[in-house]
Amino acid sequence: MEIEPEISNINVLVVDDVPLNQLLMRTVLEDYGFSCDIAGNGKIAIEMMKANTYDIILMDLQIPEINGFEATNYIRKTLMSTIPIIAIMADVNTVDLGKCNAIGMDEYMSKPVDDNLLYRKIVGLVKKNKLIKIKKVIQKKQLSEELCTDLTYLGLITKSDPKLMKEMILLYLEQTPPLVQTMKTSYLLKDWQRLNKSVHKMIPSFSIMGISSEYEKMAKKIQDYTGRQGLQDGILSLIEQMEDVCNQSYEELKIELEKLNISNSEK
Amino acid sequence: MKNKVKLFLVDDDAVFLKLLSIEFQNAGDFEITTFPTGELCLANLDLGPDVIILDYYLDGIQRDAMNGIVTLDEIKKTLPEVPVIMLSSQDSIAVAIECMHHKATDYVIKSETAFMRLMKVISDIFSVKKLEKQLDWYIDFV
Repeated sequence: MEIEPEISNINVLVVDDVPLNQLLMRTVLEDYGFSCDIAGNGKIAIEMMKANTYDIILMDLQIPEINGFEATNYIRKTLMSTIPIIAIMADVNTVDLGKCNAIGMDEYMSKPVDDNLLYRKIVGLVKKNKLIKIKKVIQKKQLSEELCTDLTYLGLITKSDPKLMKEMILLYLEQTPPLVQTMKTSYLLKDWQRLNKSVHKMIPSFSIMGISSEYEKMAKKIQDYTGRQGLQDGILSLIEQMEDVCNQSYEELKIELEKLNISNSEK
Repeated sequence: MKNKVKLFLVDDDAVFLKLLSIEFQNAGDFEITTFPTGELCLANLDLGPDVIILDYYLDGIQRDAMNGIVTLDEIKKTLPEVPVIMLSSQDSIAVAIECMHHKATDYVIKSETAFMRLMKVISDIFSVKKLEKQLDWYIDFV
């Protein structure tokens, strides 16, 4: 049988309590060039999942402490891992396969395990999972391209100190909504001087939060219009665009703040 | 600059104020005090600042706040020797000239390079002061 070259260094976690089965699995997997760790029960398996990175799990269903279903459920729900899991069972006829699927197992095999079939399933699942991961990264990248804020500059200035970054973001979140409000009311009241000043105050924060310089130009255009008679009619659409970008940046920075809080609490 | 320079930063834009204070903090050599209004800055002049960096539009957020030029005039009344550098996000010759007429030392635009420019202005201020001291010394000597 051909060993696929692009699939190498697969790290397998085998969960089985019977020493003979453990030895058998290890021999087969190492024959295929995979590396493998053994967990004697579900509890150990979960601990090992937390400590190491694996590409796939072969999970015997009848294991002590925490059984295969419970362990899988924990890996999916609590560890939030999408790692492929193959259920290994003594007798397919006595096991509820629907339950296997529902709990988040990807495949099942009965003992005695057929070597070739096992190899194909492992390679297939690992490849599929890698593809899904790549797709997610691409999707995330595409999303980030549509973001209006970019914290590169802020990270540079604060040397990525999460405390300072949080402080800066909090100040922006506090300061921006009242400025937007002032901008809108002063337009309605035709208080051009006030409109000018409120828009003026937004400009420095825009560049600090990495908001496109287009909006800075827009703010300057509004300032320019406020100073000239008869041009005020053109301001409204500019104000609406400014409001949109302020609202969007507000939402984005709220998420960034949460991310910083999470990474902080993890430390 | 062996001793720390006592620096006052005055701006009602809290985000920019924080950014500047982080940058000066990173640079070392500065003892930084920040004020969100001109009024608070004036009330604390007895702390003896060496340099004051002052925003031009201090009444952008609070309508009835004292504006930058008035604050500048008040500072100059109390501490005529203390250099005041004006800040504004508006690149306008009229504003720059107005600041100079009111005895500001310099006028810097709020942009990503604002901090570099401020550092340059501050170091120029101190090298001029040093030269003046030397000159005094030579005049006494002669």
